[in-house]
Amino acid sequence: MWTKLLSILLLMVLFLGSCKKEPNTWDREDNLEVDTASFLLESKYISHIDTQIIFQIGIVTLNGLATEKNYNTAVYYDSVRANLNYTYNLSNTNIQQKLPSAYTSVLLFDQNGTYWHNENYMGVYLRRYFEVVENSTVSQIAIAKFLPQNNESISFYKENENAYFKNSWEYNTNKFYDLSNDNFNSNYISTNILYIIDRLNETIDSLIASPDKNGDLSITFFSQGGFESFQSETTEINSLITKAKTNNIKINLIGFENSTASEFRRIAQETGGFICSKEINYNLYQYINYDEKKITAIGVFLENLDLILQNKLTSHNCTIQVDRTDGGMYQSGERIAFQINYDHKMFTVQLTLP
Amino acid sequence: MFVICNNTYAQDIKFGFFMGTNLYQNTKVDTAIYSPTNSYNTYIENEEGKGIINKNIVFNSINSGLILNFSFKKFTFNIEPQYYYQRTTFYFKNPYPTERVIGKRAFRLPIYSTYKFFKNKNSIYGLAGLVFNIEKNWDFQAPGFGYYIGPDQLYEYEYNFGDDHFKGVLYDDYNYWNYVVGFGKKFNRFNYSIRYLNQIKLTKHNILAKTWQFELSVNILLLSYSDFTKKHFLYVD
Repeated sequence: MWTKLLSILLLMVLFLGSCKKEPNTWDREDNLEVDTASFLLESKYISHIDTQIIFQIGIVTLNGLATEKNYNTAVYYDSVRANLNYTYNLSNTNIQQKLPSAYTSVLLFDQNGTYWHNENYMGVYLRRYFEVVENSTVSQIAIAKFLPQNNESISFYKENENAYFKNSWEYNTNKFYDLSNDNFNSNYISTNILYIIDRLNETIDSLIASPDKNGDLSITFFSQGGFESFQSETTEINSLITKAKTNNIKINLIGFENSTASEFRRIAQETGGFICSKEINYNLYQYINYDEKKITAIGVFLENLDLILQNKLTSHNCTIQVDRTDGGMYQSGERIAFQINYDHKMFTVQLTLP
Repeated sequence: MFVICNNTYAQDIKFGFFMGTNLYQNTKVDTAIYSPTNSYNTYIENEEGKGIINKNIVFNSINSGLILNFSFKKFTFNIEPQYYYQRTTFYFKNPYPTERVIGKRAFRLPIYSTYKFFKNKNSIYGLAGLVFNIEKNWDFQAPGFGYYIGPDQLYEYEYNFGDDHFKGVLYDDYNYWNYVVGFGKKFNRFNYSIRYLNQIKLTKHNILAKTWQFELSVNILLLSYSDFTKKHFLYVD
């Protein structure tokens, strides 16, 4: 009887012990799936004459948690979509290591739409980013938001009164989930572009008034995009761009899945900001399917947001000369858009001719 | 104790086996948001005001070991060195659906006294004492039963947030004590008892979670000291 009891006890202990998994040391970076994605860093007007425009474009590709350095396999193609009356000459394709700098950025969240929850693990990337910023001596951010459904003005999340840029990462993470939850519980509404421009103007005013700012100033605007426009907002948009440029504030766009050549994107390009958006297949003219990717392009951008805002980037530049053969002439003040084929991805350059 | 028991009246020392399980366990972590420092994932309570963990579970453990029982009149004093195994799956919905398997295997040492309420040797008794715990924990992300038998696929994306998120919340590296109170009754040769265990702060053990449990324990006393000391007489007609 004793032998049986002891045998059963021993077997039970061995069985239960075998069910466990030993605790492992976990490297936090291991829980970040990484992938590659490209975005439009900048486009610069160089010159134009009657039937010819010359401009420069800079694309950045991110590989994992770093910027691409050599761009060996990436190519600018001298083709254009849907307009055969233009010829493209590419020259001076080069790789440029950008000059890093300290930065102050207001992360402005448009709570309209389901963008937050559809974008997989955005909270994971942003939490990591908030921690990186807290441990950085050159990066500082503030978080502001507005809910178009309530016709809200912008409001800042502040852990300490009147200190926009001093929030802890825990506080920012907490507030990010609050605002994404509010967003999740509200229905999408069509938002007029003028309402959005007013919110950006408010943000610029707050940034100008803040005594804590230093380094490169920017507003990084997170939105689904697709604003309601009557094509009559040029004055307001130009006024916003002028105000931002006068105060050396760049306006960066992240998200914007519904816009490929909207006036709104012009705000980013003409203030010197970047556009991190869903990637578009140039040949198919549709969003790149991410089924085989580990994470989406937006995920890659968010993982590298501190690098991007610090300008710790290497860009792949190209000077592009466009000649039109349709008999038309370029006019001063004219707004133009070109869809560039870079590595079979489409990037839209928008310029206002001086 | 041995000396005391052997020099006093109506005392005995018995030795036996013990088995038990959690009848019911409640674990509560009353915070709306929790950010583990070893992961970029952040946990948010499923329902506002309910805390990130409010788990009620039955039969999530098994424990077995030995029992040393010292009896004196209506009192007994017991020591139960035992192996304790517990495995619980916690479900989190926000911000991303995940399941975590969090378990422990422990050496536990309940030290308690009992008091029989009536003279009958099988009458109901009350018990009270302390339980010393030395445990090893594991904490990893894995599909639990909800994944296999639930109506929806839990993981929309395969994404591993990493191990050991709840150190300092559900467990830590320090040994600790529980207090135990309960009652029991003997049926045939088996002692059945229902015990309530809760935390008591006597060591550096300091976790955020509040955990209490009801345990069912069964022991059988097989060997008595008096078996060796009793004089045996042979009567021959």
